[in-house]
Amino acid sequence: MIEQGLVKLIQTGLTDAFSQAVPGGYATELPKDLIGVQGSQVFKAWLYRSMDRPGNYVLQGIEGLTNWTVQIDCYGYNPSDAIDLGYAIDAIVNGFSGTLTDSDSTVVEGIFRQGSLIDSFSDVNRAYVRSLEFLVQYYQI
Amino acid sequence: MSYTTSQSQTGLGTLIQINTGTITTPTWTTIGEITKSNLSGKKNNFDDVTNLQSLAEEFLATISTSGTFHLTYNRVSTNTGQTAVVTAWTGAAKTQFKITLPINTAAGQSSQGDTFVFLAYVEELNDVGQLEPKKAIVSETTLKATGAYTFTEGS
Repeated sequence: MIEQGLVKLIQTGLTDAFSQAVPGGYATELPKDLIGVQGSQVFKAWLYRSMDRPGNYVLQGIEGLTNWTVQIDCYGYNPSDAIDLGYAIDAIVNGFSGTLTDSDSTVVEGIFRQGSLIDSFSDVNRAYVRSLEFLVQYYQI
Repeated sequence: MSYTTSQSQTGLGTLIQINTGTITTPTWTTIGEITKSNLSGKKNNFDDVTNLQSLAEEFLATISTSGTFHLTYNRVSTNTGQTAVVTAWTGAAKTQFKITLPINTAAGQSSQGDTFVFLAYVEELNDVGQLEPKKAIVSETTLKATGAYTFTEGS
């Protein structure tokens, strides 16, 4: 599945970038009290949320090449944590093209950064957030 | 039967095929990944026969024009139907095409959709159209129909 492949791609890249594993790949919500709670050593985490995935059709039926718009929220205990994480994830996925390591070996034609870049604060998670949006073009099996 | 609801249909499931065999023994090869087909210019033609005794303009129907199909499809170099279109363009050959519409269940069809068979020249072939980083490579071709269509209503 493309979701699994994207998560693996980012997680592998983040481990290399920060020399340690970064919690992430959650869908829609972070686990409760993940970041910055007293005693927690987690200062960065990320999640993804699917925004748009219209079906493409040819006369014969559904087309394999699919456009998926995904939002990635980068959480940080400090603003710099969220920003650093955002830059790191952007460096991993922006312009990527190749085969992912999910169970379907999903082939990605390209990942393109979209215009949206929003900084905010999450009251629920008590953390700063940088939200990025990407267009993922891949072949849906 | 009184009207209750529309029996129209969409184009999803339409097959547009090129004959890679002969007229007598056709081999219908589907042109793959067509995203759009547009027929234009199918019309009757007229000659103006207005004369001094006419009370208004008068026209005489002469011969019809079968029109032009404009096809847009995702370029796949290994698709045999698309390759056959390139071959037809290269040789400027008069080639047979067939369009099979989907079965229109609402209109009472159950086994076969409407078909149109016609001869055409591949008039224009823009096989490497616009190249953009975020868009699929798309080919566009124009089929200039020659002669009359053979229409077979589905059943």
